[in-house]
Amino acid sequence: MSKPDKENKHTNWVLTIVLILGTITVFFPLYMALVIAFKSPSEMTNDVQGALGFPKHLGFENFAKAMEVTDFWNTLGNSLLITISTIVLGILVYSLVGYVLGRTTAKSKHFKLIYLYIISGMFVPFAILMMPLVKETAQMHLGNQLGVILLYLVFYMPMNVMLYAGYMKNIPEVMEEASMVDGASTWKTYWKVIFPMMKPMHATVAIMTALGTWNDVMTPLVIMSGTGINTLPIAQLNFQTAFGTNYNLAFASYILSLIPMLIFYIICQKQILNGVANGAVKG
Amino acid sequence: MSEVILNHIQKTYPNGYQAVKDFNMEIKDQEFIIFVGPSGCGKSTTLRMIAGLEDISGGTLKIDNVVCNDREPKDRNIAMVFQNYALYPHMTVRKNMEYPLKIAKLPKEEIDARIEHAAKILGLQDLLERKPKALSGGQRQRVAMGRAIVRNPKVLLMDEPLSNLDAKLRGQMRIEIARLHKELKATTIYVTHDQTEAMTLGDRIVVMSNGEIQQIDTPQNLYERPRNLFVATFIGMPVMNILEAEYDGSAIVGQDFRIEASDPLKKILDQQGFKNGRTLKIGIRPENLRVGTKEDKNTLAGRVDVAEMLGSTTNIYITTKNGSKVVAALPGDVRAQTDQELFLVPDLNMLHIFDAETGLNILEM
Repeated sequence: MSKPDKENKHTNWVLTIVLILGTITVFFPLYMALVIAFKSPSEMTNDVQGALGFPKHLGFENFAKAMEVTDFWNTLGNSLLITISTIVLGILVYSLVGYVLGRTTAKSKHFKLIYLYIISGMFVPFAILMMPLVKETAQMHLGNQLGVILLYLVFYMPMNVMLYAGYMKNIPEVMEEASMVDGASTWKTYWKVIFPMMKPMHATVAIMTALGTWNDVMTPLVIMSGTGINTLPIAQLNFQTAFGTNYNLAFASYILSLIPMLIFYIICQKQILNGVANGAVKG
Repeated sequence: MSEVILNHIQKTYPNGYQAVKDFNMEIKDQEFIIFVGPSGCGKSTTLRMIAGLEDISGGTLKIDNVVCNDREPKDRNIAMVFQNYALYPHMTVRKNMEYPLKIAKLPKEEIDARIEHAAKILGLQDLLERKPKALSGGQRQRVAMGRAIVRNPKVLLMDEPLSNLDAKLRGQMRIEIARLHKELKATTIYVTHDQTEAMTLGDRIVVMSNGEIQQIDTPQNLYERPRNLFVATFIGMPVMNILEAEYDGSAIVGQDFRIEASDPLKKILDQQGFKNGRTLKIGIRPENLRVGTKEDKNTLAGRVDVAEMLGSTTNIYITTKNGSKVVAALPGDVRAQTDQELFLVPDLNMLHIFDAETGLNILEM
């Protein structure tokens, strides 16, 4: 009995080293960003100490200055508005489309074609669409937050519809049948039974969409240029000037903009881990 | 009154496969009907057509004298218990049971009263605030039944509701379902492939094979008077012994036996022309065999292959001189050794005689 237990406790050194390297790859830049964010420009010497050494004192002056330069509360508001709206509308639209396509592609060639058409959107690079979109949104008076939200909804549709349609395989069809026999309409079945059962996928889609929209520079930059409406990543471009980059303020600002995403990720990842279909049907 | 009438019901899939062929039946109010048969016989498909989960390809379905062919499941006033429970995992037991009642827009007091009543009947009072993942298999099964009965449906449909439970729990739940039916008096249609469930629960049983009804009858009649070879071999455990034979004008003669025919039997066999060499099949239930001696008449002699001690009975499998396999269900105190010679005497009053060509029971025609 004890032998297998002992064997299980053996350390897999290859895996451990790979994991350590992976961890360093993630934490090293984060560490650098943190220490630089707290340093004054005079501490930024051209040596190892300048890049990696601890700041002489822990002050929040850089953060305050970065907030001032980026018009933080205003740009944060814009970023939150765009990101939250995209996530909420996206989850509603993608899950509905994913539900329909997930249930029908195997049975109907027409729906299979629609599915493939939507998925093919993944292979269209943004650069090709950029100029026509700028013109179109301007003509339609959508060179604002609404225009950016609508574009995000379209851009993230292929990947997220594919995820939702694939996830439908995890939800037994008998759940819908039970709901229909219980007297529910198709809409009610979707809303009351299927939608809550998609919770882990909602969390996944929310995280992916949030990261994409929160960090995106290009779309708001080209669509809302000249309107004076900025998101956080656009405002952060102010730290780069023709004469150089103020790394201390830039990193302080990056750390500030990272916090909402970190909190959001921590909330959502719990949902991903909790398989919501537990107990629905006999396993 | 909640009668269900199935008139020439058919189910044909787009690829041409006919899952149900010409299903005719009238199910009376408050009746407990069992659809039984092997996998793929069309029993679940028929149930799903009644539920409205499958389109009906042909024929007419009436529930409570209303044609329901094109009605949505929600408009049929039925409830269904699924094989794998199909509980809503994000809802508590109470919410699961509330769901159909809220859709029906019943007042809150009525909903609460019905849930309390169903929970009391099914012993779920302490589980109402739990989610399905925190319940055992038997408890989930009871919740699924609770969700079905709170609606007071005209027809209660059950699709192999006990097949996921272990043998002991299955036995308990079988008794629960029988009690529940007595209490609720709802017309119930129950699909199973387990003949014990079929025989113990049903007022009438529909035996199906290859999409066709083989026989509709009471459990006792199915056992005692099977209409054909399929029913005879499907109902009863161990399976009925089937031996080939011919009628020589005075006796039924097989390779290993000779059974003198009684006068009424002779008359039937003569009338149906079995004298002219038409082959018969003799059916003998294992429990209608007893251990005899060499001197006994009409014996089946053979050597013991296996003896299964089951406690109250002993099943003894023998192979006759000519290679026929015969099983006898004997009292539990009977002992036999492998290779021991054994003489089995059939109860001649309990013989079943089938036309080998059509498979029909010639005594029931």
